This record gives sequence, structure tokens and C-alpha cells, in this order.
Amino acid sequence: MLRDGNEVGQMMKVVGEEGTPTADFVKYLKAEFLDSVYLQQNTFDPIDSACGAERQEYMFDKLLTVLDKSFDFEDKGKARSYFQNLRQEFIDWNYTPWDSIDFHEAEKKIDALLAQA
Amino acid sequence: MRKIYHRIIQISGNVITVEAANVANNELAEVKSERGTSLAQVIRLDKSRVYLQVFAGSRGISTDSEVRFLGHPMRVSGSEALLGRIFTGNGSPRDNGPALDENMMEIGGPSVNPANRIIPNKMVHTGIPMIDIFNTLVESQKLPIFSVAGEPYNQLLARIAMQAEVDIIVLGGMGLKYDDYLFFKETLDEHGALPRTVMFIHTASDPIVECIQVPDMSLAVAEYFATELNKRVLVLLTDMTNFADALKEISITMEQIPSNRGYPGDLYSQLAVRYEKAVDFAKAGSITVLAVTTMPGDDVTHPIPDNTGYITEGQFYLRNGHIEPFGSLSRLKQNVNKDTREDHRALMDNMIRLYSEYREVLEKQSMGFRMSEWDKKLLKYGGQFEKGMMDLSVNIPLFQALDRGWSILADCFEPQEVGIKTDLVKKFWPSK
Amino acid sequence: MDENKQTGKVTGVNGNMVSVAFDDQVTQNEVAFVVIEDGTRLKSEVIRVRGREADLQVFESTTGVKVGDHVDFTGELLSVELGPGLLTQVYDGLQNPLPELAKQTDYFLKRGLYVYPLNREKLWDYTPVAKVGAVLKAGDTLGTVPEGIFSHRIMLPFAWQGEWTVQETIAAGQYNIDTVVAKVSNGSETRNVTMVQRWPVKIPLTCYKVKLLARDPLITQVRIIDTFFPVAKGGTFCTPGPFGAGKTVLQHALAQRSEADIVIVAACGERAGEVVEILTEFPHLDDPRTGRHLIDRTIIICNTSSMPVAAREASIYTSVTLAEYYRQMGLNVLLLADSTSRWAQALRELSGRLEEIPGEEAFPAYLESRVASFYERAGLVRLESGETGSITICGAVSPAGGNFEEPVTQATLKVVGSFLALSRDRANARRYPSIRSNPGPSTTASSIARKSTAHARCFATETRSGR
Repeated sequence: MLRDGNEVGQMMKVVGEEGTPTADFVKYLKAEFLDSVYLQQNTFDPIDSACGAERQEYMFDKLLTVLDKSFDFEDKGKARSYFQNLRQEFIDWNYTPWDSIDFHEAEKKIDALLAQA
Repeated sequence: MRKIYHRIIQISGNVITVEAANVANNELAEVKSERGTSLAQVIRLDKSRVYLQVFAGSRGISTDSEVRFLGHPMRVSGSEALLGRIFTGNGSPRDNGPALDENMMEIGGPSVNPANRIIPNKMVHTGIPMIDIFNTLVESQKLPIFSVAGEPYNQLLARIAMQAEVDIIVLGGMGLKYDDYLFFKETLDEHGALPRTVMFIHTASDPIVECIQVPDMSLAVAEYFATELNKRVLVLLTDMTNFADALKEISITMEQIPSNRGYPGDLYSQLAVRYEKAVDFAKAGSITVLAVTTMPGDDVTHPIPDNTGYITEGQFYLRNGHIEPFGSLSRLKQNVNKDTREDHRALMDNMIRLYSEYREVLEKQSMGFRMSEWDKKLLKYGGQFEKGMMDLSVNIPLFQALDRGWSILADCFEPQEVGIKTDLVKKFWPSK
Repeated sequence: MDENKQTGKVTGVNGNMVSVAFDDQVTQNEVAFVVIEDGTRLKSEVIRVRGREADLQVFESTTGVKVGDHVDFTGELLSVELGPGLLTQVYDGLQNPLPELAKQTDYFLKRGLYVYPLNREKLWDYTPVAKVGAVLKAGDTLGTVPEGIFSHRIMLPFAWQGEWTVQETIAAGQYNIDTVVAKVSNGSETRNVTMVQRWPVKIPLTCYKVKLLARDPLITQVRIIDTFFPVAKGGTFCTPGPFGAGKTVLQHALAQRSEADIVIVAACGERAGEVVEILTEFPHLDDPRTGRHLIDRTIIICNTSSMPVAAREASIYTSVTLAEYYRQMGLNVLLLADSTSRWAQALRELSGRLEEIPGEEAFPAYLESRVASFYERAGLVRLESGETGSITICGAVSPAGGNFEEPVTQATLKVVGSFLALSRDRANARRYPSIRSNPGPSTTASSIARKSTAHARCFATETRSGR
């Protein structure tokens, strides 16, 4: 049964991180990741503030590959680290102009990271 | 020839009703009773009946007390002779000096035309990291200090006043304890600031209606200094809750239908009209307003802090002797924090975010859960953040505070764990 | 002074409400001027008539008004001027251009000073469209002038009934807005048409063929909105939230980056500083779609919290009437009202003075219907010409204590299409935009395929929790 990222978050408050299976924990990390890189947006940055429909679609597709991917982490610490790195790459990607060289460079980094896990 | 009236037909709370003709709305009058003479202001006209709120309260007023209309609304003198002086809530001298009658200006005057305002853009340095980094104060900002009894809010107000680079200070006290009044006087004196200060002091033992005029008088004087003499003025108001309570009393006496928790339905507009006097002019001076607002029941949803929050450009929560990171906000900080240093914003956002995670970990800890490696890092961070950034005794300039922020982060985390974009990390992360 | 116009005398003053005794007749919502001793004329509106006494809401401070003061009734409803030159303007709630007022007085807003909303001297490049002999109805195009990147249509006045035949039309050229551009006749009378017309703000402008179902999204370029809570072009939405949750920053983002043709910002009872930001920045910010400055597609109606309370209502109605005007030209308009709660509070104050029986939280019993009629003026419409135009309305709501269970939020939720609730918790944790709600199913297409968003929702932490 698919558990809601939020539900996992709530459960963790009760049973603690050590009482949470790694698979559920990854679900929680995925939810936080979606929030940090997609739901949140920097209205004060000239690039991140204006995300046109085209870019949204492109980004979202990439995001879905992350959300759908099944990961196999040794432990929760490694899972957390991985997602922090992935988040960092996505955030940097958000600040590159659409379809520019920097944009594609940043995308390559993300793809590489995804290929590793 | 100004007529004198002898027939008060109604006395209800601090409002008297007289039958008179040719009286203007908001006109001032003098009411003579056996207790002395008090000022009163017209608040409603209904055919031949004139309703007046009596500043000194209606005790001792009888139905044949003399009422003399003065032909003008409430006024205050606008001149440099104000500097160094102390007045009461109705403008008469409290310091045994002479009354001033030069250049009388109406108080509660019209709004500034928005087309004449400029965007606030000058930082007010306070040396307090919780303000300078996280909730930067800007010239012409209007900001309340939300707090409760027992907290050092007047001390915080005084400290900011002493460190801010302004030309003139106007202090408006409403319901001040005498000790607090003396505290301000002595603090200003110690720093040599008295000669550039004007004070309108209404104490807790003065009649409540008199405190209603204090904000308007303070702000009218501030406007004079800012527009006529191009000065940067800092207006300190304490405590606005007393002001709101005085409004409530009058409104109930006038049998107005109360709104939330008994406060008048126009409380928002009444507060807004005063706070919006904070302004920066392109070709003149500026007015910055800092106001203490104690929250009844420590409840921020109470109408006074709630309405205030919608009006002011942020708020500082003073609790447990320090400025709360969550909830404290300066809405104008983004006007200046892009020009201070390039890491200011990112550092600010992420340090708060991490501190918020720290607080969640504290909860976890209190429930007896085992702490993960990440949790331990957050715990270390939280302690250092509180000691090095939040403590009100810390007094360091902005850049030093930013550097301290980086060293706290470096001491507790790895570079990629903090969520700050890579090029800033490359530039500012302290090398071990 | 026209002898046919009514006059009256003040019989009472209570805050911004003045009671007036008159002899003959007055009309509900008629504009009147209270004249005080020094000659200053205070604009007001009749809001109640009982026998020979009228109650007026005054759009200025009433300091100095006396019982016995003279009142002039104008015989006209509160109206706006519609014509070229509206875009880039900053008006107060009564359509006085604030920069103009600033030129005429010192730093402060002077009572009783009213200025023409549109510049009478500026010359516009007029091109006639309707030829002599053409039969026109209200709203049909006589000619056009370029305004920014738009083709501003000069239309047959909306108030004129029936069919009108063009008798004369001027040649293409440069003219000011008072120039007679055409003469039209309906058989019994001939009238002159200039580039300016007037319309009463409280009456919806419905000069279109039919209202359509709003379905296509208005792209705002804010990811969380376009993907998960899309807004329809011609729809309505609200942004309720406690103070400090980021309402205004969000509204400014919408004003800057939404893919609408025209943006009208109604700053109703909020901070002046926020309007100043728009005033100062928009002339320098570019709209990437058109390459022009953002201000070229913007109108600002500004009645801030310290400006006369009665004019807040005027600002709401003025802004929606201007929106309806541009919709008539086949354009997509976004109207941002910040904040509708201040309008509701103004209604409450006045209702108290009128001694009406209060509803919940002392708001007037008619609050819901007023709110509903405002949002009703939004919509996607098909014009007589076959083109479409739209008005999308976004209303910010400032509930007391941040509690949504209050009359204004509830009245708004009943009528709007989507609801973007802002959360203080999210704002405190610096997670912006702090939108957290999860409304019911939306009929509007999101920027991303529905299946994908539903899939992503499974992961979304905030959207379901309400944290």
C-alpha cells in the first residue's frame, strides 16, 4: 500500500526515525524533495520567479522520474545524504536560464546523480 | 464671539452631550468643572446635539458645567523649540517649561500621497543579529514589538533608538508606568540624546481618554521635522494596547456596535491612519515608527496585535528575553538585504530553516527517541545559533554577524547539507 | 450652479457619514458634495434615503463639517471615465490620478481636490473603423487608437440603447480625447461621440453576447499554482491568509508574471508601501512576452489603509469597471484585489453608523450578496464580434486572527473557483509560496497532465496536511 509522504512524516513523530522502515523514510524524503525544489519558488530571483508552462512540464517530467524511481539505500543516513545532494543539484538547476548552456550542464549533473542510485 | 454653553444634557462615561449650534466636527472645547478645566473634542453631531469626549474624564462635571468651543480641532506646535521638551497627553508641558503656541498645526492630518513616497532603501543598523541579519530594519519602516508584561520591551525599544542613526526622536508614551518614563528619560540622557528628543507622555495614572491624542501629536511633530526640516525622525510609541483600549471605551460609551472581542469595528483603520504616517520622502526626511504592543493573554490573534500585524511592515516578537526567530518578520528586509552582501539572503533563509528543523528535533528528543547523526548535528547547531545569534547581549555589526553565521554552519555541517547554492558556499564557507 | 440640481443642508455628522435634509428628490447612490465653511467640497454618495433625510458616505475626512452646511447633489451616480490613457495610471478610489494630485499640492492628499482621470491634452493616433452609414449598437467599434501594444477601441457608449447610424466620421489623425470622432443618429436624435465615455461603477457592464464556461488556465508562472491549483482564464480565486504569510508578495508575483494582457491592481485598504513598490518597479521591469515595461499593461487603483475608508468601496468597483471596459476590447484582464477584507470592514463601519441590524461578527447581513456580485463580474465572454475577452479576479482575504471561519472568507469561498490558502507555518519555515490548501477537483486544466499531478500528489507533504 502506498503511504502518503505526509503520513510517513506524521508517523515518524510517533514512532521515531528508527521505528520507520527505510522504504517509508525514502517516501518522506521524496515528499520533502518535491516541496523544496518544485512547490517552493524564489519570487525574488529573476530566473526562478518566472517558470513558464514549458519549463514546468520539462521539470515535472524529471521530477516524476525521481518520485517513481525505486531506490535501494543501505541506511537512512545514506538516503538522506543522497537526497540532500539531489536537492542541491535541482536548486542550482532552477537558477539557470531556460534552455541555456548552464541549464543543460546542470541537467547533465542531475542525470548522472540519478544514474548512480 | 465664541458662545459659552451651560446646558449639558447628558453625561455618559467620558462623553458629554451639549445643545449647541455652529459647532464643527472634531472641534475642540474647554469644559470647566469643579476639578478644573479639561479639553474635550467633538465626536458626533446630531441636529442640535453635540457629543464631546472629555480628555480628563467626566468625573466632577455637572449639568451646568461651562463648555466653551475653541473654533479649531486639536493642534500641536511645530517648531524647533519642541526639542528637549516633555509634554502630557494633551500637549501641555510636563517639564514645567512654557507652553508652546508657535506655528500651531492640526494633528491627525491627511495621508501622504502614495505618489510622493519612495521605496524604503536605507538599512537601520542596530548591532542585534536577530534584527540585522534576519529581520533587517529599514528607514521609514513601521514595526511593532509584540510582547507581554515582564519582558524587556522598553529596553529593546530604547536600545534600537540609541543605535539607530536618526536626527530626531519622538517618544509617545501611553499608559506608561512612571518608572518606565524615568527609564527612557535617563537612558536618553546618558546617551546625550535628550536635546534631540520630544516626548509626549501619558502615564497610567492619567485619564484614559488623554492617551488617544498621543500618537497623533507625536506623528504630527514628526511630520513637521521630516517635511519642513528634512530630518530623519524615529517615533517610538509604547504601549499601543492602551491606545486601542481607550478607543474601545469611547466606542462602547457611544453605543457603537462592537466587533471582535468588543473592540470597535474600525480599529484597523484607526491604527492604520497612525502607522501609515511612517514614510520616506525623496526630497525630504523620513519617519520610522517602532511601537510596543503588549498582547493580552499572549494571544497574537487578539484584535490589537492581529490588526496591527496586517498594517505594519512586519513585527518583532519579544519572548523569553530574545527576539523569536519564527513569527518575527521584517517585510522590508528584501529591499536592503540584496545590497548588503551577496550571501545575506541565502544565509538568512537557510539558517532559519535549519533552526526550525532543530526545534523539531528537540520535540523528538523530548519524546525519548534516539537521535540520528543528522539530529545530533542539528542539536549542536541549535545551541550555537541561540548563543551566538539570538542572545540579546550580542552586539556586533552586520558583516561580522554574517561571518559568524558561516562559522556556525561550518562547525556543525558539511557544505552540501545546508541547502545554500554552490557558488555562495564556494565563496564563503570557512576553510578548516 | 444648475438650478435644476438639488441642494440640501447637513443635519448630522457621525464619522464619515453625514445626514442631509433635502426638499425635492434624491436618488440612491447619487453623488453629492458637502460644502464646508471654507468652500472645500467633499465628495460623497447617497447610501440611504428616509423621507426627507438622506445619509451620505463621505469619501474624505469630515473634520470641520457643521450642522447647517450646504450640500449639492449632482444627479449622477458614482462613475468612471473610460478612454485611452487609462493604462499606466495610478488612481485613488475615486479615479483621481495621484501623480497629478502630487503636482498640485505638497506631500499630503488635500481634501476636496479632484482632477480629471484622463489627460485632456494628449494627442492620440486615431484610425476610424466604422464607415458612414454603418449601423451600430452599444459597444461596437467606431475607431481605434494604439495604447501600448494594444489597439484601444473607441466604442459606441454602452449606455446608448437601440441602433445608431454613423452620419459623419473624422479622418485618421492625431486628436485629443474630447474630439468628436463621429456623429451618429438613431432616427430621432443625433449625438456626438468622443473618445471618452462614463459608466456608473456599481452597475455591471454586460455589453457582450454570452458568458462562456471558463476552462483554459491562466498561466501564472508560479509552479505550485499552475501545476496543482490552476486558475481559469475568466475564473475567480482567492488568497486568504493571516498576516505574514506572504499574500502581497504572491499578488505582486501574479501581477508581474501572469500571462494576462492587462493587469489591474486594486490596492484596497492595505499598506501604501506595497503600492509604491509596484509604482516604482513596474516602469523598469520588462514583460518578456511583449518586450515592453510592465507598467504599460497595468492600472493601479490605490486606496490605502490611511486614506478615506468610504473610498475603499469605490476602489473595488472602479477597478472591476475598468476591467470590464478592456474585456470589451477582446482582451484578457487579471484583476488583483488586495484586500477584499478591508472593503468588507468599510461596509461594516458604515452599516454600524446606519444602525442596521448586524449579521455575524457585526458585518452587515448583505455582505455575502455584495461579495458575490463583485466576483460575478468576472468571466470569459463572447462579444458580439465573435471574439472572446475575459476577466480573472483574484481577491486577497485578511481574516481576523488568520481564522478562515469568518464571514468574509466564508462568503468568498462560496463563490470563487479556486482557493489558495496561505499558511503561517509554512511562511515561518520560510517555505514560499506558503500555499497549502487542497481544494476540491478543479475543472481547469493544469499546466501538467492530470494523471501526473495526481500521482505527484501522493508524495506532496503540504498539500493535504494543512500544516
